[in-house]
Amino acid sequence: MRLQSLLICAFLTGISLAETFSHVVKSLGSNGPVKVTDNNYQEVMANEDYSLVLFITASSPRIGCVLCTEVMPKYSQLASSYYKNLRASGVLNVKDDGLKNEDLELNKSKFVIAYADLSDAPEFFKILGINSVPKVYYYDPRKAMDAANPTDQYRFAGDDIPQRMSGWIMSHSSKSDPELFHIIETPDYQSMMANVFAFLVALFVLYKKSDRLMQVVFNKKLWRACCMILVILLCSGYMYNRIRQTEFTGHTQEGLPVYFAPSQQSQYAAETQIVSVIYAFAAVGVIVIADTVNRAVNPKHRFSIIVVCLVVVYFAYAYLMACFKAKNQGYPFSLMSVF
Amino acid sequence: MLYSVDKEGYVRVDSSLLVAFKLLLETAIFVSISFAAISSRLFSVIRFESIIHEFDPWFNFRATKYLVSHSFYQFLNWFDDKTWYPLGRVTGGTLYPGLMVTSSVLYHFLHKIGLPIDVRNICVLLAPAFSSITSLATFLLTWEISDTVKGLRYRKTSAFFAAFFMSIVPGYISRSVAGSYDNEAIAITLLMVTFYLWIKSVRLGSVFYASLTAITYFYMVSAWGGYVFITNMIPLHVFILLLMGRFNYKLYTSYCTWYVLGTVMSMQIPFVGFLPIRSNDHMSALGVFGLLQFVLVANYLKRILSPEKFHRLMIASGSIVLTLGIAGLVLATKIGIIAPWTGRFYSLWDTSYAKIHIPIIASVSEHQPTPWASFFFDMNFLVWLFPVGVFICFQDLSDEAVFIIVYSVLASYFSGVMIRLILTLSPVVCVCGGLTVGKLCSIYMDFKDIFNSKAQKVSGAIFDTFSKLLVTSSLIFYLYYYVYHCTWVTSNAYSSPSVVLASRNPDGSSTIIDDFREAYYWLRMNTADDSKVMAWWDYGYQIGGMADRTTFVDNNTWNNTHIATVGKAMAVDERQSEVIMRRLGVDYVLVIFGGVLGYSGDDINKFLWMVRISEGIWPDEVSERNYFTPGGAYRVDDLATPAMKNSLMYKMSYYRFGDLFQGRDAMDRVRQQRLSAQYAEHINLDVLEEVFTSENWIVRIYKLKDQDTFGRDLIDLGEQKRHQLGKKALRKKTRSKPELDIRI
Repeated sequence: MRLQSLLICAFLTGISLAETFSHVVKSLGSNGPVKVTDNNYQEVMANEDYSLVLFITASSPRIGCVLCTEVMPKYSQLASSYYKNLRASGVLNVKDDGLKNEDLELNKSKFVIAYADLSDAPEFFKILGINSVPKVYYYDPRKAMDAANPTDQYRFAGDDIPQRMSGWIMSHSSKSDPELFHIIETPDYQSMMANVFAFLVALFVLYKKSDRLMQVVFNKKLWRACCMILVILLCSGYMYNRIRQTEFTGHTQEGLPVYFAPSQQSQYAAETQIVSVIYAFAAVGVIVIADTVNRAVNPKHRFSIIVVCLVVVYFAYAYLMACFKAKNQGYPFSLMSVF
Repeated sequence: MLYSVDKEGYVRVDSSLLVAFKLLLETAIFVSISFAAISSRLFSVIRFESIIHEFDPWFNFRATKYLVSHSFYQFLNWFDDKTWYPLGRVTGGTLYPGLMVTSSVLYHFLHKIGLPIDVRNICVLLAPAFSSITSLATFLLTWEISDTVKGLRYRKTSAFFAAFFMSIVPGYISRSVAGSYDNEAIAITLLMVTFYLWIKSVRLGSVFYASLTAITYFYMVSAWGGYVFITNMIPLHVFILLLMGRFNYKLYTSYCTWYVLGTVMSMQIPFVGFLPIRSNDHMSALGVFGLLQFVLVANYLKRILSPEKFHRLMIASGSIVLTLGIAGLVLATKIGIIAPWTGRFYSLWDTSYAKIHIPIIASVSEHQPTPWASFFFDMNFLVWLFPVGVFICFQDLSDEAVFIIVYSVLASYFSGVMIRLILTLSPVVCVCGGLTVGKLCSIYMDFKDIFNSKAQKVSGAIFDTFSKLLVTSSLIFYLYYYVYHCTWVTSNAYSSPSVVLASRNPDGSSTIIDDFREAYYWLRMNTADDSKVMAWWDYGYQIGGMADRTTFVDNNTWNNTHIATVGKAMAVDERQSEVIMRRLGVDYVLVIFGGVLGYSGDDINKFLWMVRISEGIWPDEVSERNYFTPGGAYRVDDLATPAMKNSLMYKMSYYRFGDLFQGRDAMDRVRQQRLSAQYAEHINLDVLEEVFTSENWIVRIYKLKDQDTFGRDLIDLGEQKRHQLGKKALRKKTRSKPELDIRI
């Protein structure tokens, strides 16, 4: 009895695990590449009658993989046009007769295009045993269970246009149909509509409220504030964070946050915030001393304002130097010791 | 009488004496600023000697020597067959000649007046000399600006402060120390002079100043590729003035004169050619030129037409011009008349583009974005005076102040994107800092009231005096500290020639490591004149300049494929590499190896770039992955991957490295990895033979062996030889080697 139930179990799992091409495409592949997660990887990787193309990526900014984010849209374009072509060609509508197709070359030519992102599939990544991204793996039919050993691996070459990738995919089977890989350029109607709408709204506002708007546009104080904020931000390394997509803070080995990167050539995003605030304090202090203070009529008030501003400027500057000293150990000067 | 004492006891001085005294003082201040500017740039000359620094300056130096000994036209038509062998390089047409022409003119002039100064010394000292002119130009520019800013009682004070800041600001010193003979050395000077003349011509609306602007602009175009900055700055200034409704005939005159003359003149530079009417970088200047004509006509029509008619005409013609303009631009780009954004500019907007598509650009650290610490390092307290200066410029918002505002915002964006462009930011930071300090001085450094008995009686005067004293003293403190900071930065960070290295002996005494020049001198003296030396591109200019031998690739990275070929020859095994080297016609191979000394800028650390760049061309034959262990580590010891161990670069670096340690494990001091003695002994080379290794092993030179007389394979021969040598003989051989003494 027990043996029987065990057998049934084995049989059932066998069925549910071994996925067929049409099932995968119908259930998972809709508009883009099939997304492999910790929940479904066992199903997808059990490729009974299709070959699997797997793009392994890490889109999270913490990893800071520029190439991943660069390649992903091209890859999804490739996948979506492939699936679209597949649906149009009617291959999928052929009834699954339950019989297993044993023609290996034909099976090979049926590709499932999938991707796995580190943040969605940490378990799966352990199985893959990967230490660098991005990668594109190709598995022959029935070979994908052994996920860590792909049949072939794609080499990135800088100009990874979809055509180059699809050529690589097709090269694995003599029966693959180039028609299926014809790239369909799908214009992004949604964003186009949104842009047109935003433009129209802007035009309407411009037309209706032009007087009010002109007041804002010709407001000198607004422009002044904008320029100063822009200059302060740019001088405190804002562009560095944007280009490098740096982490907000670092971590010690005990997991405590570290706000200042130890080297002069790198920084965390938190540093930009701290430093820009310091700059702002110092600059405003000097502006008050140089400009606004003369509006105070009472000499005593004037004196106290100046003293306060000088102290603020001094401490802002001293703190800035302490921050810099934390990054550049050899720096010999300091106005006060903070760290 | 020059002075007299009046009844109340005051000394009355004649005004002419005062003027003379003022002039004397100003001259004295100027001389001291120039002195500070020049002397702070001489650290490297005093510490080392009068020597050209780094890499690019060596090429400029070589080109200058060529220009001095040949005529100008020969220079323009110079085809250099000593680089990029066997392709050669059309050098005359692909360089900015301004720098070389400047120094050769100086050279000939000095020789005419009887000062026979060596070309090298002129080249070394050109940058410091020009830096003092930069301070002068900054002075003039700030003077013009401060003229238009309210509340500055002593205009010259701010100008002097700006000049003083400019003279020692590290952001500028980084590119202009003695020996850094690069285009930027004179380009920043020209930038400031051009901007000064531009401001002057906008103020006066004079054709004379506008033509002078065009002439300095031409000089700038001939000197540095960064002239595009001016080409976009001036139109942007004009455009913003137009948007603010500040059109006037002064603006029209100066812009049109500058644009027409400047464009025609800039096209005379062979390297620039027809770019000014083709590339998109220059289109804004053309567009503003057209717009100005349009505004001029509109201005005229406004006077002669009724308001209604004018309004209708404006709308009609405006829409026509807009549609025509856009259509024309799109059409011309489609057909290919206008070049798309050039690569250099593209990397300004989107650095990740360059990183992926052009590995060579990514491998140059100058193209990295700037963290905040670099801003502080290069500008010290000016970095927080800078926004205050922008604030002051907004107070009165004169045409000239608008220029400074536009310049500040634009330059801070560019310098944030690319660390190299801090250079263009530092002048405006100095101007803004000068304005701020000048303003503070005009309010708080005025102590006349103390001596005025009437003012003393006003209540609270004592508080004012106190606050003045406080502000003045803290200002002086910050300035004092600024000087210390700049000196420290210059002496520690920017004064190393990188050709000669400074180091310390174990006992603390300083020593100089001169391996590069030793090796280049060896090449010059011991190899045939026409021998070809293969090395990674970083050293191309130096080999050309110091050793005077033909190179395959150099720092002018114009041919990626050729660089990749050299990279491949280094990255693959001996057998494949021999084929490549024979095909290229290599005689000698030069590698930089820092493992003995701990010099981290060596070729093994740059090796991954060679692999990456050649992988871009031959993805099937070279793969970066193969040079990392399965664990993802970059190893050079016993556990290195086979691809790594077999690569020519690895073998050349570690060949006979074990011998240094006399039976103990060999230690690579850069990568902190230990090569076991048995393993290190078995690193062998068959197609190359070692001909020279410098004192500290930094430079190693190998000669490609001649092909075997009987047509046998060199590697097979080596194998046989090693086989014949029994273990005993091998041991005996290593023991009988002379003792090697290394100085570290």
